[in-house]
Amino acid sequence: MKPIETRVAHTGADELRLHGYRVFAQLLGRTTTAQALILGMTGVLLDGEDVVVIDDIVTAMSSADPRLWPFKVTRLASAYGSAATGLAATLLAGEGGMYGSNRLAAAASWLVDLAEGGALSDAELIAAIRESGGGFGVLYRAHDERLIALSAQVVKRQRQSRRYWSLCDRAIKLAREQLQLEAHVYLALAALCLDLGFRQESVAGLGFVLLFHDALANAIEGAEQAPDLLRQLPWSAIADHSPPARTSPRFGGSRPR
Amino acid sequence: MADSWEPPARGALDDTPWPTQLVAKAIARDPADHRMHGYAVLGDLARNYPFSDLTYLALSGELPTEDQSRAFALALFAFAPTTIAEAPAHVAHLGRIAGGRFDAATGAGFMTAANHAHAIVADQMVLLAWLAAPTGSLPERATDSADAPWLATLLTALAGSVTSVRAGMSRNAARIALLFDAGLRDPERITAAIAFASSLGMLAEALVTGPADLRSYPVKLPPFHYVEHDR
Repeated sequence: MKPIETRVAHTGADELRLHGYRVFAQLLGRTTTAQALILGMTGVLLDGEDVVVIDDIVTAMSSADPRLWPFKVTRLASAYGSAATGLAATLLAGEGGMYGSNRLAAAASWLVDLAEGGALSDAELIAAIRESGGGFGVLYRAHDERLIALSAQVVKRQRQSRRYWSLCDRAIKLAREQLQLEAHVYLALAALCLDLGFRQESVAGLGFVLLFHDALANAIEGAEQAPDLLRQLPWSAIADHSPPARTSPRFGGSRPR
Repeated sequence: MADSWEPPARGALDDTPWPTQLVAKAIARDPADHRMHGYAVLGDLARNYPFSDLTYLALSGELPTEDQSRAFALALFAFAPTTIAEAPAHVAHLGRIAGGRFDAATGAGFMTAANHAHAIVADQMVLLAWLAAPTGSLPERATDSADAPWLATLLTALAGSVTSVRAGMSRNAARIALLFDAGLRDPERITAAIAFASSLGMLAEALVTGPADLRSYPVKLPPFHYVEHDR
């Protein structure tokens, strides 16, 4: 049986290894939650100056309103008293959909392709924005409030001249001015991660981190409340668009075949 | 459910004119007898059809013909025995031996079964194209000589029925061909059938194990080798 190679971890008798680090000897007492999280996710141990970007991202993405699609899932799935079910359902239900990892991955891929293409004229960048997946378009509101807040924080941290943020910022402004199109916060998140040195493939993992803390908040409260209302909505809240009543070809028969 | 609550700062969630009702498209509530895709479940379907036809109705929106019913029922049988060697049952087993509640352990198993079904269908998309226009030899991904004994048993069970199942097919290809014979062509409906049926084997394994089996679990199966980064 061919062994599966892992670079993640090994549990020894007196020491734990995580991505090449000795947990007790090298990390314990020196590592923040965000550093440990990103180390686990990417294999990269961010330094103190870089890891604050992750703190900023996670804080700005504390958009945990239980009416939002992912967290309505959390509330429904935890409605029988299990926070674990709420968490698992949240992480799973939207995979491949409009929120989370795949959209971040698409935004990262778009930025990397553009950056590798060298200097772009405004016209070329606008054409690329028109064809982009993931990074543009904001539902139900004029702009993405998280993007606005995070952009201000990037300037405050003096990180606005970094390669991917510069590209992202230029695309955001061009899209707004020329296409009346607002960028989604995922574009900014992808740029920040790429500037932190994340491999393109690692950026998608941040989607789980972002969902996790918001989902956890809803899963814990949701499981504690376990409201009957979420277990079963009143029938008055349901519009019946199902097919009209019909009888089967065997209706009137006496027993199954 | 109108209320007089005022949010701390209004936003799109508060001010967008959202629909006020959730839409039911498949199941109609009836105080005496719910309907599935229009048919009364207890008053009609339960009296006249096997459960596999109800399953078919749920997945396709229509009741099967007799030939479709036979092919679909056989496909469900063929997908049902998920073994402990397969990830969905292994996941549920791990949950159970770790002391996880039955619902939690099998919830993880169901989740994996759905993903397993998706992977099977994704792997056999080339077969689905071939089944729609079966000219030339079988796609290589749809063949596996190691499955010949199982395939022989299936062909015996088919007992001369007209079928898309072919000699040389892999187990997954033959099972998908049965679903194709049953009239399921859409990858999502095929995935649904596989996830539903294959969950039975997962449940069967989860029900016969528990924390008492913890010490008999082979932790090093399969082997994982940790490789250090250069630090």
